[in-house]
Amino acid sequence: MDDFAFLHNATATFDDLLMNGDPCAPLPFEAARRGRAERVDAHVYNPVTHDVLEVSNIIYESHPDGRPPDRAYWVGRKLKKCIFGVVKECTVLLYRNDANVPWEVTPAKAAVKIMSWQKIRELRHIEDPQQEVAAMQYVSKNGPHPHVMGVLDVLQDEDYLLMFMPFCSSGDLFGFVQQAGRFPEPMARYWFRQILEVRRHLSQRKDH
Amino acid sequence: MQKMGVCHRDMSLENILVDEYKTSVVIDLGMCLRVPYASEDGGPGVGDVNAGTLRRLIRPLIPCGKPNYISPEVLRSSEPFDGFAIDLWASAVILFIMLVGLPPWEFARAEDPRYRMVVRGGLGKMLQSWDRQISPQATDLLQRMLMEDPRARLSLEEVKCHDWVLSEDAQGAMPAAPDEGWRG
Repeated sequence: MDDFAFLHNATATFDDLLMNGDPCAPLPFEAARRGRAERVDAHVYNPVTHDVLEVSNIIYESHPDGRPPDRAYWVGRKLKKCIFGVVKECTVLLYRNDANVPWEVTPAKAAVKIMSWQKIRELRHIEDPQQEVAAMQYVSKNGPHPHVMGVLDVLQDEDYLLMFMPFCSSGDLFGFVQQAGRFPEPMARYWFRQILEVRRHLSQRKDH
Repeated sequence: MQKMGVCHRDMSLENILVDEYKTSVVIDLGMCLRVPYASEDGGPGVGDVNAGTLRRLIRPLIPCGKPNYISPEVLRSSEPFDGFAIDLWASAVILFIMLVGLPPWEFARAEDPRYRMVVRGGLGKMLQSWDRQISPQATDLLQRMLMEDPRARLSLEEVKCHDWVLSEDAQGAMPAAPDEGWRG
């Protein structure tokens, strides 16, 4: 049934859909889930150099039951502006059982979108960041997809909504086209296939 | 396994990040919609993707997305649209810009002479006049994805099976670019 429905949806014509009932409103997403953000300065161990660094601006999820966080983010340089704030690069930290040096550096990078609640309220933009969080959590349910941005953690405090996402190192595709002028056809084909894979993934499910 | 049934509504080159020069990642899910489906029992109710049925059209909404990429039916904002088809339209505009280096038009509406030319079957002729020819197969694919009437456009499955897409000659290597992720 699933395979059939997938194929049916991938080949359906506009008239098939028109015959399939009156046009209706889109369905709501489940409300976004957000953890409580804790921001601290702490000592961080670097397992490669064996140095201990004094680091400020470490953010992690504070659990109400007091259990230690799984991971934290060491927030670094600004990458770009966004409507409600900025995007910054982060280094992912792991918790270690040592009260004096509670964190350890990992090679993993993340990006965090830091959005101010005040701006969200003031601008009342058509793009609601809470809606974006809800959509990202929805499409990440089966774990991350290689071509659709998922969300690692969503945290908040009184001032900010924080979306932590995997880091992408090479800019955006628009920049590549600008730099190249235009792509040779084999290169356009390479990227276009990945874009079709996104459309297929969003249609149905991860394991197809 | 969670099924998706989502349309992105804001696909663009600017919303596709690249990781390590080889993997594209679509971002900016703030305009996403959960697409309605026919109900499982065949009644007039609305189901979601888990019903295992065919999706339904969506009632007109306020147009959103980046001007170049908005489909004509979303822009008109007066007629129902297929959530998946509007992403496929934006994908065609993305492919056009990758191959040609310029967007086909500013807005997909009749007032725009370039839009008029393309939806009347003149995509190849327009590129010739711009002196930016692409292969006949690429022209055929883009022309058949960029038809004004959603009924006349290729479906996702037809796009995936088009000769141009299936060609084995795919090359991901990128020209050198500055290493600055999340550039806006």
